[in-house]
Amino acid sequence: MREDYGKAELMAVVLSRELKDGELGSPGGAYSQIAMAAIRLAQLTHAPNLSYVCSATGYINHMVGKKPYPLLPSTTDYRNIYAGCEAALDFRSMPKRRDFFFVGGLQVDKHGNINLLGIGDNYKRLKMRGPGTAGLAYATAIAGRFYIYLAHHSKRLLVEKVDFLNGLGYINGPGSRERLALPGKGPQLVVTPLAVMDFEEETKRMRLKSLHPGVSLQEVVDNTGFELIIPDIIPTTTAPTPEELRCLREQVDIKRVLPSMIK
Amino acid sequence: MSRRKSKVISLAEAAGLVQDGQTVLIGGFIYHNKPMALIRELIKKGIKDLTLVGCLHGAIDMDLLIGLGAIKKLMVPYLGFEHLGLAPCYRRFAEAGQLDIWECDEIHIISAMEAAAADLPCMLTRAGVGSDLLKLNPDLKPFTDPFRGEPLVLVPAIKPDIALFHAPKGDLYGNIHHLGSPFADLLAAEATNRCGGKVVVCVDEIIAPEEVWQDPRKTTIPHPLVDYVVEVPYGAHPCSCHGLYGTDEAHMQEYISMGGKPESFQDYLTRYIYSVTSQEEYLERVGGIKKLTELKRSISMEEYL
Repeated sequence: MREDYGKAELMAVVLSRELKDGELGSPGGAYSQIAMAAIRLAQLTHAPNLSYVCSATGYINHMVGKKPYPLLPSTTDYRNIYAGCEAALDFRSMPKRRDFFFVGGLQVDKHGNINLLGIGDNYKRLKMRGPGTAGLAYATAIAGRFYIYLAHHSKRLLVEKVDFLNGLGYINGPGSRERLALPGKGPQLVVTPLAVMDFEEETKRMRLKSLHPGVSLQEVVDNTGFELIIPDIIPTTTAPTPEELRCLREQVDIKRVLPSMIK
Repeated sequence: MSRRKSKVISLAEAAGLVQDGQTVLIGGFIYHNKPMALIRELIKKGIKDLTLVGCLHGAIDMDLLIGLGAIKKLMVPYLGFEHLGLAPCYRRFAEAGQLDIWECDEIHIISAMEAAAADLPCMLTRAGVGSDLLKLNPDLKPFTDPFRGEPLVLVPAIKPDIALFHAPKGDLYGNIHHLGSPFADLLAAEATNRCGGKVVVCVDEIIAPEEVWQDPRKTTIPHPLVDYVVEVPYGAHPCSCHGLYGTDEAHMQEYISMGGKPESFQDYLTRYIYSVTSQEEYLERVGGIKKLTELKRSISMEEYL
């Protein structure tokens, strides 16, 4: 089945629908075009009172009623923080409230735990040293809820257990976050180029929520490194409406970077 | 009456302030507002045995020092080039087990700075609870809140001997103006100053004090927290200086590809650091006025405002 929108566009629209009016959140760090598009699209459609803090810069931004600015890969780029900026604070003085947050990683496991530190079972001899933790340990603990989005859906990324846990999903399963008195509710969705996953309430294990149009169940199962919970009835991810696509392309992704981002 | 003292020193003098074995903090964020010209001077003089603190994230600034073998201990929450790639020397050294890494979240660095700034031995945070960071970093101490019994983490103060920053502007007394995000520079300067360390701010331009007096609200780091000011035009290159010029992504990509092997890393050092005698010569080497104009224009937002 051929669609008239790109995978990254679909992912941005799916994430955008999760954000609520009046919220304050952050798009996270690198490869943030999808998260940023989701936030700006929400502001320009159903959530005109939602604002975002441009990551560690402490700049608070809002795009309603302003000229659109192209999506950029780095959230802390000067142009990105000035687009729609209404308050220029710094790391220390910015509001710490995060109703929502977006994360990616080197590995994500069945409980939504995230690893950005490195790949390998021996810390002293990593197969691949990653960038570190950034703000993952804190943000995943305190953000009201967060969304995991991945540019690939593969066994390498979606693993049974992360080699290092520096972003907190549901840790060991039900009750883990509660025992640690974490204020945030944890990961809500995992959105990939193939599907949307959520977490089953009783087990806090990742569950297939919907398949993107044209994607088969087998394709998702074959590319996931653990046993996904598969519901009896698997819906198809709701395609972007013409209004969502129009707004996304004319007011958010004006340089059209999303269509070619994920093949 | 004695005169108010100028804090302006030369780049060479600034490099002379940094000693082997010190705890050195670098401000800015990833590849924004980094004191690159000063770091190149440190590399030239063969600095070594540093405890390097990133407040906050790092990229080429710290990766160069790692590649040089100058780092004894690394305290940084993120070291990488975002969409451009992973940090090549960090990878090589960390994967070979040759780097002592103080694994942390950005909030641990912030908490350690807050502790130093408040003259406290440590600071309390929720960051790290439930994560493997507590296993990997023995300095992050689990602590139970005595009121409600919540699991928390204590982070010891970090006390830099010297902190290095880059900002767009400042006057000769050390009043600093940022034109974009100051990131966590103010806190890092306060922490360093409070524990007796030296604060060095490189600026693209030294401005007249009158410009500071006209609108004191523009000052982002106040003079009592700054010990030295160094004027280095385009001193953040190849990083961006928020508000003045963008990141030289082509140069970053060249660095990332050359940093992957010791031999090509040496070629990079020779080409852009050892064989260059001044910042002016460096700017010529990386593309001269044409490149710099392009980087200035790259952050223009005129058509969108």
